[in-house]
Amino acid sequence: MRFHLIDRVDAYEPSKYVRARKLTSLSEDYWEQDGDGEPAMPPPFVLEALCQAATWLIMISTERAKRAALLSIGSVDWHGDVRPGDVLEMVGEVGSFGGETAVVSGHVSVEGAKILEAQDIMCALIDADTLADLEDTKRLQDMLTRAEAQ
Amino acid sequence: MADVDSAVKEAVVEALALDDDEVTPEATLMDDLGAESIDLLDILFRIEKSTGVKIEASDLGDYIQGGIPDDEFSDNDEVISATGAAQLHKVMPQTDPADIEGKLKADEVMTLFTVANLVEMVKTRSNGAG
Repeated sequence: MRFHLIDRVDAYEPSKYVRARKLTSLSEDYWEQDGDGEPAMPPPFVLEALCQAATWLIMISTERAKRAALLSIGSVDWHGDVRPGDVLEMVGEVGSFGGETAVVSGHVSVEGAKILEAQDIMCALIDADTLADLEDTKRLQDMLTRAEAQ
Repeated sequence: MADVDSAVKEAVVEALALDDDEVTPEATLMDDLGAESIDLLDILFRIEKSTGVKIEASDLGDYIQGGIPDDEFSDNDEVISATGAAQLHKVMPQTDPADIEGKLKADEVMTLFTVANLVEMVKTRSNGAG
């Protein structure tokens, strides 16, 4: 099973920052009930969405040569719940980018309100061609960044 | 730029969740303080954040070996040669070449690397970067 939690990469600057978004839908199968019985996105999925945005930045910055494997996260703060229909906006900024590791900090917001903030997400950069078909990755990147329409 | 000695110490204390007084200059990062390879990445990132000096994990090995080719640094069994032991003494002055030559395996040299050695490396890098 593959969980794609990015619908669009709206803006990026290689090795600097990325802004991406995800429209949530009740038809997706990750919802769990909160204390009031209302569906809420499990917080680790919100964090995963931010990490996926950061991974796309790394793939784009390395022309898809590298993918990111999570090593550690300095800190995470949660500020609110995500409900079905919310549009998540992920913003990631690079703190460090080398040949072996990258460190990104960022936040996820809904309608301008911060839902999650994460500092110092550290990941190892792994050769992408051992993990996925690079042509498939390129097609997905073009779709997410709307490169084909430009 | 932050004082290198205190920046390195703080990075090690925070990355390994140690008490201040445990991180002495002569403590070896891996054997004495228990750092694993992922901890080294964390330490190097914290140093980069506070000092602006960027060091990759692979740079540590290159710095220790000092550009000496593998076949001169160690013998066919990957045990450190006289040339290798002399180089190690340069970057890790606390080591005695007589204890290393013909005895230490090349893949064990990082176990001798101390907090003071890391401070010296960061200083060397920061001077080199201008």
